[in-house]
Amino acid sequence: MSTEKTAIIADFGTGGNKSSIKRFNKSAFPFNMMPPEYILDVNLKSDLESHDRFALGVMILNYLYFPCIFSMNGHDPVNRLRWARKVYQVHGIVKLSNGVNVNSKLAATGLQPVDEKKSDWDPVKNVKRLLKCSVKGKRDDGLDALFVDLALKLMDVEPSKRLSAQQAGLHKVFTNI
Amino acid sequence: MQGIPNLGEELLKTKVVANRLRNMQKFCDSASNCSADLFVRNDNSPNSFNNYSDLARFVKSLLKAVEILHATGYAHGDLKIEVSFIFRSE
Repeated sequence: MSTEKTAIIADFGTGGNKSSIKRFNKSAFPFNMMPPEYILDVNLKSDLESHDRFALGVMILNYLYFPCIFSMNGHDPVNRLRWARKVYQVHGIVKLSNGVNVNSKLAATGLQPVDEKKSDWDPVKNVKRLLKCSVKGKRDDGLDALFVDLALKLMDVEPSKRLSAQQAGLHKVFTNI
Repeated sequence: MQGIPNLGEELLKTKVVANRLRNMQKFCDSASNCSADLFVRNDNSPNSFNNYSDLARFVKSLLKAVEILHATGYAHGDLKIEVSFIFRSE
């Protein structure tokens, strides 16, 4: 029997005007979904809507590879920096549109630099490498690639380039499956 | 706004759902453990994604929910798997 699965979202405690520019209380915020621009001060404008877009991308990776999740849990400041590094690493992006070099920022924290994306870059392999455990079971690489593409476009390191929820709903993953 | 549900009513519904789930969460050690319980991926679990098309349908539904929220001028601010729940239609 075929069953439809519907998503319901709860817990609007931190919600608000989508355009608000909110500096979250970093010690209290569950930073496993925190966009990297909040952690590493890269001087990029971000708002609550772009934060939601980023979180959707992380959620998709988590659903795709569960129980090997992409998120990082905990509130330790070092883990928070590691999480920001992991997000830049999943994209293989070192230089941002405003000229800020991520590796220079990371060097100041004592963390390893991010490997820059090369011509043979494989997004799926790269995501799997950064998950908390190794993915088991039979996978369809082509379909994994579609979901990863959608997730990474929502998680873009440039807040202004993140797909809106509406744009994401039109992604080819939904027509190719 | 045509086609957009009343946000107040939707929030009341989500509050009821959240209260029910809070009772479930009492059995969890932490939020991450709760999510593990809620999103077990295997063929025997009623909440599992058995295949890619199942997952695609759920993700599309999730994106639609956020699209509606953003269209009303609001943002959630704390989206994570622990606050999104899967419901099967009868």
